Amino acid sequence: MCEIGGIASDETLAARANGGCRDCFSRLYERYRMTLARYLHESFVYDFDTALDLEAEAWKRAWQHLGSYAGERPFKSWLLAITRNLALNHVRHARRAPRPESLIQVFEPRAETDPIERRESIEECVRLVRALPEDLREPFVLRAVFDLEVREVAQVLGIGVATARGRLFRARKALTEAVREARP
Amino acid sequence: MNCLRAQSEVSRVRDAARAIPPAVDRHLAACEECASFRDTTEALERRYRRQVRSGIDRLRRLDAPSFRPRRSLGRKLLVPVAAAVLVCGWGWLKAKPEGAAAPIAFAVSSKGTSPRSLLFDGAGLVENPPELSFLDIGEPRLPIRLEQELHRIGGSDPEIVLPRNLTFRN
Repeated sequence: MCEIGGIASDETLAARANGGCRDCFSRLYERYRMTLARYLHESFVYDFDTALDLEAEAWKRAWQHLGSYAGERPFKSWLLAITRNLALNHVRHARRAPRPESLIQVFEPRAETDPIERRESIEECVRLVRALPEDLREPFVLRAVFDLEVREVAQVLGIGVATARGRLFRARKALTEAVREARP
Repeated sequence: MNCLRAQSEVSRVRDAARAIPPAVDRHLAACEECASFRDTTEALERRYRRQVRSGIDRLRRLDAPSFRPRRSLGRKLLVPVAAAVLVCGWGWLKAKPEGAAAPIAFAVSSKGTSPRSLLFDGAGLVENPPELSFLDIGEPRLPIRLEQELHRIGGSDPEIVLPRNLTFRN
């Protein structure tokens, strides 16, 4: 049994896993289990079964290619980048890319109350985000849910920091406008 | 300062976790639209984060690894301890009518007969206690399917180290 404590950083665990420690890899798995599937579900594929399959594949790839991870960036963003590549492949090959509908089509306003204050508004927030164009949705999800810094978001997406910052702003602007248009 | 600039600054502030510059703050105090942008953005992100994260927690609970039940040491010992207490009580009741003041340990003492009874010998100090598998506190394990896949890949062998320059291409 691996003697390393449960408070070890992701990067330490990854380094040890790279040395062959399966327990350390298991700890990493425990930390991010289901997180990848949820990321895929929110960002790419709305079919959760597919997201789970892709998550399993991502863990396999991560194990296979731990040797290429040199700790130059957070393990979380490295793992998300692998997951994202798999998802893009999947979308490309299966031609099942979700077609973003317009925000107004997806968001059905209910006139009696404010959409942001309604009881079911949490679910509507999710719907609003899913209706964002893909290039705005991805950085928003990575930033809002996974707490990646803008620099890390840019790394995962393979874009510049300024571009990532701009997309985040456009995503927020689009979401705010959708809420405003839905208000009575 | 115009509204677009102010809202862009608000967005930057959210990403950088720093205080709003005074100029932007003044604009927000005067401009209802920009103040609404700040409030709506904050509320949306907070609710969205909460929704997705609680979804992850739910999924984790639903998909608890089935290869080995994760129980605390206390729960693992609960059944053997309860059984031993029952045996103890039964032994005490059986011994009582004969007037013997046999200690409880004597009633259940049977050195070498059962690993469970060894726990109650003396003050619980037992030389060379048997290895009890349920004392193995659950460590995180991979699900069986993934474990098998990793075995098949074979990367776990410390003798086999993938080259550092190996990159993952799609």
